[in-house]
Amino acid sequence: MARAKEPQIGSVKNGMVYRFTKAQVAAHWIHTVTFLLLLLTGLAIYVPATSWIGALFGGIQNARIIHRVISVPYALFALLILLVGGGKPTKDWLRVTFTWKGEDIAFMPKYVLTEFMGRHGKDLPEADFINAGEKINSLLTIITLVTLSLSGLIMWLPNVFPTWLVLAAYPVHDLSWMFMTCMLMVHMFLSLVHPKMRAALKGITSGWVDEEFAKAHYPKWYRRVTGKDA
Amino acid sequence: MAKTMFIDSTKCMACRGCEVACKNWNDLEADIQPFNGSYQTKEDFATQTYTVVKMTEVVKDGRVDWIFGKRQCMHCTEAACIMVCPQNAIQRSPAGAVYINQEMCIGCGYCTQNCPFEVPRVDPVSHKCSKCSLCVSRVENGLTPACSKTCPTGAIQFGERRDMEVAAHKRLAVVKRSYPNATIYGNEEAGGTVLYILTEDPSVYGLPPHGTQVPWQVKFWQNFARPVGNIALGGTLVLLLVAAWFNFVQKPKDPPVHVEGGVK
Repeated sequence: MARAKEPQIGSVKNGMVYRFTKAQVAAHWIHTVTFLLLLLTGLAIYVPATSWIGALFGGIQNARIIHRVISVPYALFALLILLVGGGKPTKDWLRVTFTWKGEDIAFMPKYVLTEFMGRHGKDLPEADFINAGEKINSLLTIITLVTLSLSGLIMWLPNVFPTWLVLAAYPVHDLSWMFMTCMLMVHMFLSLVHPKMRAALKGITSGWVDEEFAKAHYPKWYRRVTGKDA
Repeated sequence: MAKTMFIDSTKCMACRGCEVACKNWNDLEADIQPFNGSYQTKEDFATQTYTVVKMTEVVKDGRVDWIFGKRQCMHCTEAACIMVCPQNAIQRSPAGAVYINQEMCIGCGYCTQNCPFEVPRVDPVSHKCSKCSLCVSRVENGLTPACSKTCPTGAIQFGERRDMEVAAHKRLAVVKRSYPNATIYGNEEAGGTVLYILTEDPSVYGLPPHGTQVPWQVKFWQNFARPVGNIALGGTLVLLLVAAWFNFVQKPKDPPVHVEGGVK
């Protein structure tokens, strides 16, 4: 059976640019759902002020079981999808994420004080596939996927690992979820609330973003993948 | 006022009356275990066993010595279990008893993992953690813990901390005549709510080494990781509130170039 061929990254149709592959969209949402479930069950277990959340999962003991069950797809599914179906666009994302230049550093304070606060950012350094703030988001997501998964596994099986490592896993798990949750709050604010960034949400649901939005926010990437002028 | 339990291991004759009295007062099951080649009755702490007398034979200069280690919670004045409990279910009484509020406990086992003396035990069925409470209900009503009350040789004394410290040092001087290596254990290690006189290395009694402290991982977690994480979470919230204010309430004079979905 012939399958509809997935568009090339950078394809332009009806004023929209193809920005995220199906694998990337799937990985993003699997990561979102599993992380949110882990966050909610974790808050139920860990923070007395939010232990009422446990009731949503049928009590704290159920929340503890769900936390462990969900941790497996959290640790593996998004990673597997990107390993199997990620291809060049995913390599491209990783390359951009791990490439840091002086202009990335310059971007951050400028962006936070202007665009982030609803002002127009003059002379903001041009971004490639993602800007410096999104690079931090990507980096933190990757790092905490590793630290949360490993420290969680160690806490799950305390008799398998040496005591010093089990004890060290607790602060690692704690710091990781707190930092990632900070990042998540900013990420959700920008994608769901912020007037100038809400357009990005369409990209991560359908894969397509508004061409004007892509030109304005990711000019280097836009030129690179479409071959057009931004 | 801070109280102290002073356990003089040289006076212990391993009658295990303390184990029985503990079960009796705390209404714990007998939990009979198979014979394993030792006079020791209980292998280790359990959800139904808060105190254990460890028995070890030590051969020195052709002489056999029986070492009896009456083990229970050390009721640390800087308690790792209290620091790590995510539900704040572990509390400290005015006398210094560290006890678990069973209703608040969720059985996560953080205290079990982080206790340097490996005391608390989680019941896998009830999901509740339990350990010696220093008989907190007795102690806070002017009585002595059940184990101390029943001890026939006076090996388990209980009283004001200062009195017990004096008693321990007096006794140490006497014990040192027969056991030159005798030491006091529990002051440096756990703040002195439980004091021991030991004639051998702590490991012989099933205790961690002299100078054992709250693990550095727990200190790093509580004193650094958690405050930093809290500040980050609070700071992010403030940042987002400020951003929301500037985006929606205090709108810019020159409207953004690319407006998608419209601004309120």
